[in-house]
Amino acid sequence: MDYMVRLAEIPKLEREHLLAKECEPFESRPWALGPALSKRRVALLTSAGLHRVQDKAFSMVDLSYRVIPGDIDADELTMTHSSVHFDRSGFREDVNLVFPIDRLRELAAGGVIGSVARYHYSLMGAGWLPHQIESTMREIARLLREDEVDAVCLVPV
Amino acid sequence: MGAASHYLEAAGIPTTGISLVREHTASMQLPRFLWVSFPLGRPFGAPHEAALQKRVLQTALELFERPGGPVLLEDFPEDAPADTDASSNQPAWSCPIAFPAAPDADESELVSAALNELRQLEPWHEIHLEQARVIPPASGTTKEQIIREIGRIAQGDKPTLADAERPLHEWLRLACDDLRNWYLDAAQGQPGRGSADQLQDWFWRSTAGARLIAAAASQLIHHHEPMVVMLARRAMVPREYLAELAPEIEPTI
Repeated sequence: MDYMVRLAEIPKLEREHLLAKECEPFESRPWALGPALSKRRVALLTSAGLHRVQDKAFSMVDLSYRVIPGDIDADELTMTHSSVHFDRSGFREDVNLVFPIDRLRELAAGGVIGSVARYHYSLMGAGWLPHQIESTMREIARLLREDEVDAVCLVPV
Repeated sequence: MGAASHYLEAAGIPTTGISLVREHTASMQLPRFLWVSFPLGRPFGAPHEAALQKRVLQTALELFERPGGPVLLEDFPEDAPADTDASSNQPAWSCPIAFPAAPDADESELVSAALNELRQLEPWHEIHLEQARVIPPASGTTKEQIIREIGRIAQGDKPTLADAERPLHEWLRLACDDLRNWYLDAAQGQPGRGSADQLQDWFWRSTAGARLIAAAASQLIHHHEPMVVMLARRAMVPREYLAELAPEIEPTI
Protein backbone atom coordinates (compact mmCIF):
# COMPACT_ATOMS: atom_id res chain seq x y z
CA MET A 1 0.00 0.00 0.00
CA ASP A 2 1.45 3.34 -1.01
CA TYR A 3 0.52 5.57 1.88
CA MET A 4 2.27 8.60 0.41
CA VAL A 5 -0.45 8.61 -2.23
CA ARG A 6 -3.01 9.08 0.53
CA LEU A 7 -1.19 12.03 2.00
CA ALA A 8 -1.01 13.45 -1.52
CA GLU A 9 -4.83 13.42 -1.60
CA ILE A 10 -4.90 16.03 1.16
CA PRO A 11 -4.98 19.61 -0.19
CA LYS A 12 -1.51 21.05 -0.76
CA LEU A 13 -1.37 23.63 2.04
CA GLU A 14 -2.84 21.21 4.59
CA ARG A 15 -0.30 18.56 3.52
CA GLU A 16 2.58 21.02 3.95
CA HIS A 17 1.24 21.96 7.37
CA LEU A 18 1.02 18.32 8.48
CA LEU A 19 4.49 17.46 7.25
CA ALA A 20 5.96 20.49 9.03
CA LYS A 21 4.77 19.28 12.45
CA GLU A 22 7.31 18.31 15.08
CA CYS A 23 7.28 14.49 15.27
CA GLU A 24 10.62 13.58 16.83
CA PRO A 25 10.80 10.23 18.63
CA PHE A 26 10.90 10.25 22.42
CA GLU A 27 14.12 9.25 24.18
CA SER A 28 12.58 6.09 25.64
CA ARG A 29 10.24 3.61 24.00
CA PRO A 30 7.97 2.10 26.68
CA TRP A 31 5.90 -0.97 25.81
CA ALA A 32 3.38 -1.98 28.48
CA LEU A 33 1.91 -5.49 28.49
CA GLY A 34 -1.37 -6.97 29.71
CA PRO A 35 -3.61 -10.06 29.63
CA ALA A 36 -5.34 -11.55 26.59
CA LEU A 37 -7.61 -9.10 24.74
CA SER A 38 -10.69 -11.04 25.84
CA LYS A 39 -9.80 -10.25 29.47
CA ARG A 40 -9.01 -6.56 29.03
CA ARG A 41 -10.94 -3.53 30.23
CA VAL A 42 -10.85 -0.97 27.41
CA ALA A 43 -11.13 2.82 27.47
CA LEU A 44 -11.21 5.26 24.56
CA LEU A 45 -9.10 8.43 24.50
CA THR A 46 -10.00 10.87 21.74
CA SER A 47 -8.24 14.09 20.72
CA ALA A 48 -11.33 15.35 18.87
CA GLY A 49 -12.35 17.90 21.49
CA LEU A 50 -15.49 15.92 22.38
CA HIS A 51 -17.50 16.45 25.54
CA ARG A 52 -21.02 16.25 26.87
CA VAL A 53 -23.17 19.14 25.69
CA GLN A 54 -23.45 20.49 29.26
CA ASP A 55 -19.66 20.43 29.86
CA LYS A 56 -17.38 23.43 29.40
CA ALA A 57 -16.25 23.90 25.81
CA PHE A 58 -12.56 23.44 25.05
CA SER A 59 -10.58 26.67 24.65
CA MET A 60 -8.59 27.55 21.54
CA VAL A 61 -5.37 26.29 23.16
CA ASP A 62 -6.25 23.79 25.87
CA LEU A 63 -4.33 21.10 27.74
CA SER A 64 -7.26 20.06 29.91
CA TYR A 65 -9.37 16.95 29.43
CA ARG A 66 -13.02 15.97 29.69
CA VAL A 67 -14.44 12.78 31.15
CA ILE A 68 -16.99 10.85 29.11
CA PRO A 69 -19.04 8.34 31.14
CA GLY A 70 -18.93 4.81 29.78
CA ASP A 71 -22.72 4.54 29.74
CA ILE A 72 -23.24 7.78 27.80
CA ASP A 73 -25.70 7.97 24.92
CA ALA A 74 -23.36 8.87 22.06
CA ASP A 75 -25.81 11.51 20.84
CA GLU A 76 -25.13 13.55 23.98
CA LEU A 77 -21.66 14.43 22.70
CA THR A 78 -20.61 17.62 20.97
CA MET A 79 -17.27 18.79 19.53
CA THR A 80 -15.47 22.07 20.29
CA HIS A 81 -12.12 21.38 18.62
CA SER A 82 -10.31 24.56 17.58
CA SER A 83 -9.13 23.40 14.15
CA VAL A 84 -11.12 24.38 11.09
CA HIS A 85 -9.09 22.05 8.88
CA PHE A 86 -10.88 18.70 9.13
CA ASP A 87 -14.33 17.39 8.29
CA ARG A 88 -17.00 17.57 11.01
CA SER A 89 -20.04 16.68 8.93
CA GLY A 90 -19.41 12.97 9.45
CA PHE A 91 -19.27 13.35 13.23
CA ARG A 92 -22.52 15.28 13.18
CA GLU A 93 -24.15 12.38 11.34
CA ASP A 94 -22.68 9.59 13.45
CA VAL A 95 -20.66 10.03 16.65
CA ASN A 96 -19.22 6.53 16.25
CA LEU A 97 -17.24 7.74 13.24
CA VAL A 98 -15.01 9.60 15.71
CA PHE A 99 -15.80 7.98 19.06
CA PRO A 100 -16.79 4.34 18.51
CA ILE A 101 -18.46 3.75 21.87
CA ASP A 102 -21.28 1.63 20.42
CA ARG A 103 -18.77 -0.51 18.52
CA LEU A 104 -16.77 -0.98 21.72
CA ARG A 105 -19.92 -2.15 23.54
CA GLU A 106 -20.58 -4.61 20.71
CA LEU A 107 -17.05 -6.03 21.05
CA ALA A 108 -17.62 -6.45 24.80
CA ALA A 109 -20.98 -8.14 24.22
CA GLY A 110 -19.32 -10.50 21.73
CA GLY A 111 -16.55 -11.42 24.14
CA VAL A 112 -13.77 -9.91 21.98
CA ILE A 113 -12.78 -7.64 24.87
CA GLY A 114 -13.38 -8.20 28.59
CA SER A 115 -15.29 -5.02 29.44
CA VAL A 116 -15.85 -1.35 28.65
CA ALA A 117 -14.26 1.15 31.03
CA ARG A 118 -16.40 3.16 33.39
CA TYR A 119 -14.99 6.39 31.96
CA HIS A 120 -13.40 7.52 28.70
CA TYR A 121 -11.37 10.66 28.08
CA SER A 122 -11.17 13.51 25.60
CA LEU A 123 -8.46 16.01 24.71
CA MET A 124 -8.45 18.87 22.22
CA GLY A 125 -5.49 17.93 20.07
CA ALA A 126 -4.44 21.25 18.54
CA GLY A 127 -2.18 24.10 19.52
CA TRP A 128 0.25 22.25 21.79
CA LEU A 129 3.55 20.42 21.39
CA PRO A 130 3.88 16.72 22.32
CA HIS A 131 5.79 17.24 25.60
CA GLN A 132 3.22 19.76 26.88
CA ILE A 133 0.58 17.06 27.40
CA GLU A 134 2.70 15.03 29.86
CA SER A 135 1.11 16.21 33.13
CA THR A 136 -2.41 15.85 31.68
CA MET A 137 -1.59 12.29 30.67
CA ARG A 138 -0.18 11.48 34.10
CA GLU A 139 -3.51 12.53 35.62
CA ILE A 140 -5.50 10.49 33.10
CA ALA A 141 -3.23 7.49 33.74
CA ARG A 142 -4.04 7.73 37.45
CA LEU A 143 -7.77 7.74 36.72
CA LEU A 144 -7.43 4.82 34.29
CA ARG A 145 -5.61 2.77 36.93
CA GLU A 146 -8.38 3.50 39.46
CA ASP A 147 -10.83 2.09 36.91
CA GLU A 148 -8.55 -0.96 36.40
CA VAL A 149 -8.23 -0.20 32.69
CA ASP A 150 -5.52 -2.23 30.99
CA ALA A 151 -6.12 -1.21 27.36
CA VAL A 152 -6.60 2.25 25.88
CA CYS A 153 -7.51 2.91 22.26
CA LEU A 154 -6.24 6.31 21.12
CA VAL A 155 -8.32 8.02 18.47
CA PRO A 156 -7.16 11.09 16.55
CA VAL A 157 -9.33 13.27 14.38
CA MET B 1 -2.11 11.02 19.98
CA GLY B 2 1.53 9.93 19.70
CA ALA B 3 2.48 11.78 22.88
CA ALA B 4 -0.59 10.45 24.72
CA SER B 5 0.46 6.94 23.73
CA HIS B 6 4.01 7.47 24.96
CA TYR B 7 3.06 8.91 28.35
CA LEU B 8 0.39 6.27 29.06
CA GLU B 9 2.77 3.45 28.16
CA ALA B 10 5.42 5.03 30.38
CA ALA B 11 2.84 4.97 33.20
CA GLY B 12 2.36 1.23 32.57
CA ILE B 13 -0.94 1.41 30.69
CA PRO B 14 -0.97 -0.49 27.37
CA THR B 15 -2.22 1.47 24.37
CA THR B 16 -3.22 0.93 20.79
CA GLY B 17 -4.39 3.63 18.44
CA ILE B 18 -5.52 4.86 15.06
CA SER B 19 -3.08 6.79 12.86
CA LEU B 20 -4.41 9.19 10.24
CA VAL B 21 -1.01 10.58 9.21
CA ARG B 22 1.31 7.61 8.85
CA GLU B 23 4.42 9.76 8.48
CA HIS B 24 3.90 11.23 11.96
CA THR B 25 3.37 7.87 13.65
CA ALA B 26 6.31 6.24 11.88
CA SER B 27 8.59 9.15 12.72
CA MET B 28 7.71 9.08 16.44
CA GLN B 29 8.36 5.28 16.72
CA LEU B 30 5.33 4.51 18.86
CA PRO B 31 3.79 1.31 20.21
CA ARG B 32 0.78 -0.24 18.43
CA PHE B 33 -0.84 2.01 15.86
CA LEU B 34 -3.10 1.08 12.97
CA TRP B 35 -2.84 3.44 10.03
CA VAL B 36 -6.07 4.03 8.11
CA SER B 37 -6.45 5.68 4.72
CA PHE B 38 -9.52 7.67 5.78
CA PRO B 39 -9.81 11.48 5.58
CA LEU B 40 -9.02 13.74 8.52
CA GLY B 41 -12.09 13.94 10.74
CA ARG B 42 -13.18 10.38 9.89
CA PRO B 43 -10.91 7.95 11.81
CA PHE B 44 -13.39 5.07 11.60
CA GLY B 45 -14.09 5.39 7.90
CA ALA B 46 -17.64 6.50 7.20
CA PRO B 47 -20.80 7.47 9.11
CA HIS B 48 -23.40 4.76 9.65
CA GLU B 49 -21.01 2.06 8.43
CA ALA B 50 -21.10 0.09 11.68
CA ALA B 51 -19.48 -3.06 10.27
CA LEU B 52 -16.51 -1.09 8.89
CA GLN B 53 -16.16 0.89 12.12
CA LYS B 54 -16.15 -2.33 14.11
CA ARG B 55 -13.51 -3.94 11.88
CA VAL B 56 -11.24 -0.92 12.30
CA LEU B 57 -11.65 -0.91 16.08
CA GLN B 58 -11.18 -4.65 16.43
CA THR B 59 -8.09 -4.62 14.19
CA ALA B 60 -6.56 -1.85 16.31
CA LEU B 61 -7.36 -3.73 19.53
CA GLU B 62 -5.95 -6.99 18.17
CA LEU B 63 -2.54 -5.32 18.03
CA PHE B 64 -2.46 -6.05 21.77
CA GLU B 65 -2.10 -9.73 20.88
CA ARG B 66 1.04 -9.16 18.83
CA PRO B 67 4.44 -10.06 20.19
CA GLY B 68 7.35 -7.75 19.62
CA GLY B 69 7.51 -4.06 20.19
CA PRO B 70 8.30 -1.49 21.34
CA VAL B 71 7.29 -0.10 17.93
CA LEU B 72 4.39 -1.50 15.92
CA LEU B 73 2.67 0.22 13.00
CA GLU B 74 0.31 -1.67 10.73
CA ASP B 75 -1.86 -0.62 7.78
CA PHE B 76 -5.61 -1.24 7.72
CA PRO B 77 -6.27 -2.97 4.39
CA GLU B 78 -9.59 -1.33 3.47
CA ASP B 79 -10.53 2.07 2.09
CA ALA B 80 -13.68 3.92 3.11
CA PRO B 81 -16.66 3.36 0.83
CA ALA B 82 -17.24 6.12 -1.72
CA ASP B 83 -19.24 8.99 -0.24
CA THR B 84 -21.72 8.88 -3.07
CA ASP B 85 -22.99 5.38 -3.66
CA ALA B 86 -23.41 5.05 -7.41
CA SER B 87 -25.27 1.77 -7.01
CA SER B 88 -28.03 3.29 -4.90
CA ASN B 89 -31.08 4.99 -6.28
CA GLN B 90 -30.23 8.21 -4.52
CA PRO B 91 -29.31 11.16 -6.72
CA ALA B 92 -25.84 12.63 -6.41
CA TRP B 93 -25.72 15.39 -3.82
CA SER B 94 -26.04 18.97 -4.83
CA CYS B 95 -27.30 21.96 -2.93
CA PRO B 96 -30.93 22.56 -3.87
CA ILE B 97 -30.56 26.32 -3.72
CA ALA B 98 -28.37 28.43 -5.97
CA PHE B 99 -27.24 31.52 -4.12
CA PRO B 100 -26.54 34.61 -6.22
CA ALA B 101 -22.84 35.19 -6.68
CA ALA B 102 -21.86 38.50 -5.10
CA PRO B 103 -18.08 38.51 -4.86
CA ASP B 104 -17.90 42.29 -4.54
CA ALA B 105 -20.62 42.69 -1.93
CA ASP B 106 -19.66 44.89 1.00
CA GLU B 107 -20.08 43.74 4.59
CA SER B 108 -23.64 45.01 5.12
CA GLU B 109 -24.75 43.40 1.85
CA LEU B 110 -23.10 40.16 2.99
CA VAL B 111 -25.12 40.23 6.21
CA SER B 112 -28.36 40.59 4.25
CA ALA B 113 -27.31 37.88 1.81
CA ALA B 114 -26.36 35.50 4.64
CA LEU B 115 -29.64 36.09 6.49
CA ASN B 116 -31.45 35.39 3.23
CA GLU B 117 -29.48 32.14 2.87
CA LEU B 118 -30.66 31.07 6.32
CA ARG B 119 -34.28 31.63 5.32
CA GLN B 120 -33.85 29.65 2.11
CA LEU B 121 -32.05 26.79 3.83
CA GLU B 122 -34.38 26.55 6.82
CA PRO B 123 -36.68 23.89 5.26
CA TRP B 124 -33.68 21.72 4.40
CA HIS B 125 -32.34 22.13 7.91
CA GLU B 126 -35.69 20.98 9.29
CA ILE B 127 -35.60 17.93 7.02
CA HIS B 128 -32.08 17.17 8.26
CA LEU B 129 -33.20 17.32 11.87
CA GLU B 130 -35.96 14.80 11.17
CA GLN B 131 -33.23 12.31 10.27
CA ALA B 132 -30.35 13.35 12.53
CA ARG B 133 -29.56 14.28 16.09
CA VAL B 134 -29.87 17.81 17.41
CA ILE B 135 -26.61 19.34 18.64
CA PRO B 136 -27.18 22.66 20.43
CA PRO B 137 -25.00 25.62 19.37
CA ALA B 138 -21.81 25.75 21.46
CA SER B 139 -21.69 29.56 21.41
CA GLY B 140 -25.12 29.84 23.04
CA THR B 141 -26.11 32.27 20.28
CA THR B 142 -28.70 32.04 17.50
CA LYS B 143 -27.50 31.83 13.92
CA GLU B 144 -29.08 35.21 13.14
CA GLN B 145 -27.27 36.84 16.09
CA ILE B 146 -24.04 35.26 14.91
CA ILE B 147 -24.40 36.66 11.41
CA ARG B 148 -25.19 40.16 12.66
CA GLU B 149 -22.29 40.09 15.15
CA ILE B 150 -19.80 38.80 12.59
CA GLY B 151 -21.11 41.49 10.25
CA ARG B 152 -20.34 44.14 12.87
CA ILE B 153 -16.84 42.75 13.31
CA ALA B 154 -16.29 42.63 9.54
CA GLN B 155 -17.18 46.32 9.35
CA GLY B 156 -14.68 47.16 12.09
CA ASP B 157 -17.36 47.89 14.72
CA LYS B 158 -17.01 46.94 18.37
CA PRO B 159 -18.28 43.40 19.12
CA THR B 160 -21.22 43.24 21.53
CA LEU B 161 -21.66 39.56 22.39
CA ALA B 162 -18.27 38.68 23.92
CA ASP B 163 -17.68 39.38 27.60
CA ALA B 164 -15.18 38.72 30.40
CA GLU B 165 -16.48 35.19 30.88
CA ARG B 166 -16.23 34.41 27.20
CA PRO B 167 -13.64 36.61 25.47
CA LEU B 168 -13.96 37.52 21.82
CA HIS B 169 -11.63 34.83 20.45
CA GLU B 170 -13.51 32.07 22.29
CA TRP B 171 -17.01 33.29 21.46
CA LEU B 172 -16.11 33.93 17.83
CA ARG B 173 -14.46 30.52 17.35
CA LEU B 174 -17.52 28.69 18.65
CA ALA B 175 -19.88 31.01 16.77
CA CYS B 176 -18.10 30.40 13.45
CA ASP B 177 -18.32 26.65 14.13
CA ASP B 178 -22.03 26.93 14.95
CA LEU B 179 -22.76 28.86 11.78
CA ARG B 180 -20.75 26.53 9.53
CA ASN B 181 -22.31 23.48 11.17
CA TRP B 182 -25.80 24.88 10.63
CA TYR B 183 -25.17 25.40 6.92
CA LEU B 184 -23.63 21.93 6.55
CA ASP B 185 -26.49 20.29 8.43
CA ALA B 186 -28.95 22.06 6.13
CA ALA B 187 -26.97 20.94 3.09
CA GLN B 188 -27.33 17.35 4.24
CA GLY B 189 -31.10 17.69 4.32
CA GLN B 190 -30.93 17.36 0.54
CA PRO B 191 -31.30 13.79 -0.77
CA GLY B 192 -28.01 12.15 -1.63
CA ARG B 193 -24.92 12.02 0.51
CA GLY B 194 -22.46 14.84 -0.04
CA SER B 195 -18.82 13.95 0.45
CA ALA B 196 -16.82 15.85 3.04
CA ASP B 197 -15.00 17.69 0.25
CA GLN B 198 -18.22 18.56 -1.59
CA LEU B 199 -19.79 19.99 1.53
CA GLN B 200 -16.70 22.02 2.42
CA ASP B 201 -16.39 23.39 -1.10
CA TRP B 202 -20.07 24.28 -1.21
CA PHE B 203 -19.91 26.22 2.06
CA TRP B 204 -16.65 28.06 1.46
CA ARG B 205 -17.12 28.75 -2.26
CA SER B 206 -20.88 29.36 -2.54
CA THR B 207 -22.22 31.06 0.53
CA ALA B 208 -22.33 34.62 1.80
CA GLY B 209 -22.02 33.16 5.30
CA ALA B 210 -18.51 31.95 4.49
CA ARG B 211 -17.57 35.25 2.85
CA LEU B 212 -18.75 37.06 5.95
CA ILE B 213 -16.54 34.91 8.20
CA ALA B 214 -13.60 35.60 5.88
CA ALA B 215 -14.32 39.36 5.91
CA ALA B 216 -14.29 39.32 9.73
CA ALA B 217 -11.03 37.36 9.75
CA SER B 218 -9.45 39.91 7.41
CA GLN B 219 -10.51 42.69 9.77
CA LEU B 220 -9.28 40.90 12.91
CA ILE B 221 -5.70 40.27 11.80
CA HIS B 222 -5.12 43.86 12.97
CA HIS B 223 -6.78 43.37 16.38
CA HIS B 224 -4.91 44.39 19.55
CA GLU B 225 -5.41 41.02 21.31
CA PRO B 226 -2.91 38.33 20.18
CA MET B 227 -5.38 35.46 20.68
CA VAL B 228 -7.87 37.17 18.38
CA VAL B 229 -5.16 37.61 15.75
CA MET B 230 -4.20 33.95 16.11
CA LEU B 231 -7.81 32.90 15.63
CA ALA B 232 -8.17 35.13 12.57
CA ARG B 233 -4.97 33.85 10.98
CA ARG B 234 -5.32 30.15 11.77
CA ALA B 235 -8.79 29.02 12.70
CA MET B 236 -11.53 30.97 10.96
CA VAL B 237 -10.96 30.02 7.31
CA PRO B 238 -9.26 26.78 6.15
CA ARG B 239 -5.85 27.33 4.60
CA GLU B 240 -7.00 26.11 1.22
CA TYR B 241 -9.62 28.86 0.87
CA LEU B 242 -7.63 31.84 2.16
CA ALA B 243 -6.31 32.88 -1.25
CA GLU B 244 -9.86 33.12 -2.60
CA LEU B 245 -11.65 34.55 0.42
CA ALA B 246 -9.09 36.48 2.47
CA PRO B 247 -5.95 37.04 0.36
CA GLU B 248 -4.52 39.43 2.95
CA ILE B 249 -4.08 36.47 5.35
CA GLU B 250 -0.94 34.43 4.73
CA PRO B 251 -1.61 30.70 5.38
CA THR B 252 0.30 29.38 8.40
CA ILE B 253 2.24 26.21 7.64
